[in-house]
Amino acid sequence: MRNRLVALLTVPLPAPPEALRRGPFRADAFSSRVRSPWLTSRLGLALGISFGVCFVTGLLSHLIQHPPGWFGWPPRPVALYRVTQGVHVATGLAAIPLLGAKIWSVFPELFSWPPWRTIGHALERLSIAVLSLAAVFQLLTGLLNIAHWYDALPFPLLQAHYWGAWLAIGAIVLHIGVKLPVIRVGLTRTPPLRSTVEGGLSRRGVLTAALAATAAVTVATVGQTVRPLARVSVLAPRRPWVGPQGLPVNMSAVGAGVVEAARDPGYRLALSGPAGVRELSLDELAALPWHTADLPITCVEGWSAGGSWSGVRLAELVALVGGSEHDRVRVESLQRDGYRSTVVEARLLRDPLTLLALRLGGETLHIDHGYPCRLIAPNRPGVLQTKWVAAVTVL
Amino acid sequence: MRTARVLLGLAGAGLLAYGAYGLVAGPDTDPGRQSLWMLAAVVGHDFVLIPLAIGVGWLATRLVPVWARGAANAALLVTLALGVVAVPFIVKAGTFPDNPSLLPLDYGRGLLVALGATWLAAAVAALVNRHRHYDRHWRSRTRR
Repeated sequence: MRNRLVALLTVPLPAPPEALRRGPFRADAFSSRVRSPWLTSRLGLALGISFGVCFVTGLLSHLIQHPPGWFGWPPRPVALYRVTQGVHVATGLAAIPLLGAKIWSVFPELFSWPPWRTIGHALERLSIAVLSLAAVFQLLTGLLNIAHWYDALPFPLLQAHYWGAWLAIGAIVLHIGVKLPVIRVGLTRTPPLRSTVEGGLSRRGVLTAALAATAAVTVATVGQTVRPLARVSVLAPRRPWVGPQGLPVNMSAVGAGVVEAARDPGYRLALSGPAGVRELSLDELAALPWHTADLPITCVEGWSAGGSWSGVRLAELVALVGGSEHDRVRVESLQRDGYRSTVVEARLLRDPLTLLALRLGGETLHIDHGYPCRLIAPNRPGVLQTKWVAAVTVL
Repeated sequence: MRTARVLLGLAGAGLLAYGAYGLVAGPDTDPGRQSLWMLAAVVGHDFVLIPLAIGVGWLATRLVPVWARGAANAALLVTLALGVVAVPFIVKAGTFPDNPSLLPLDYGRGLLVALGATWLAAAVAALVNRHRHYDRHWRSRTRR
């Protein structure tokens, strides 16, 4: 069986006519002598770690937003998601120069001659094609997403980025398996550097330059979540203190189409639970006991900023309609579509920091932050911190 | 090593197959458009961006004095990386009238500042390199 497989993979394939071997396919087309397993294996190692970190943190974020039955996400530490998602986006941005340098370091392989030697060789090249497709796709869709360049993404972004992640990680693991002998030689032996252009970058120089580019991209953007670096992050898509009431916004009231409904003087918060249904006006809501929670808003796009929220505990509201601390609760928005509804698990409902906030930083909540009231709970992505809350239902 | 390779190969192929299955079978996916877009992105990367980088690097190694070549090539790499990251922000900034907190900075200016710092660092590195390795007077003095 194994012998038959090996025999099949090593069936030689006919080479195309030599006359087609032109341009970059010529043997002497690429002059740089710096390209080597030494360089490629190091760039590959850095890139592999980056994609591994992005895969794990991305999968975690996906599980938090679409939790299967077996998955539970704790309310503490309150800033855990802030860290994992900040790392996800920062690592993805940092991987951009690494991917470019890695592909540059093996670029002549794209034009190797003959293009296919055996069935196994053709399959391996096919898997590398999938690897390039998925890796470029993941980094580019991530970048365009944080720039809100949605008109450049003519497909459902969330699912595309999610399944692309499985393609990318699968192709990487397969690629490591195929290249393991070369990787081992590359990482353990340092061959003498053949002569190159005088004064040009050495192997080590290219590696250093790639890592410098990674550092530059990181410093230029990471201030969107690491506040002390915000002023040097001249390319950060957010400033943690820029926005209404000193806090950034992802979806405005205008964008969500809720301005009229949110400002309606006849606004009522609808509560329903085992003891029946109740409607609270804004004044009735504000007459309940107030609490304050200092919690960050963390966007899936990698930015985060802390706020001081005050309002009513969700658990105390639920108790008005007969709900207990062991219940799950659905919180719904005035929004017609988008992130209009979320479920709060019992563990999070019990948490004293889980509020329907009416104020931010001591001021009435700005409409872009969810006036008349919004959900704010610890350790949760911003898309699950429902704004413009219209209804709370015990499940 | 052979066992590790076989295991990695099987695991990788399995993960790949799961991703491909999800893309084709999953709800809310558009595999046709996504594949085309993926292909376009890789063609842009492999046949525009990388050849451009190779071409500019090749020119730089020939036009720039020998003591500045390494620094110039490194600075070009950083320039390309910062440029790629900045372009979507430059294009989209100012197009969200309902949400001024999104892309609130002047990203063209930000890119210039970042590139200025990059090339300043490269210039310092090149001058240090010249002083150490290519300045004849300095060299002859140290030889003595």
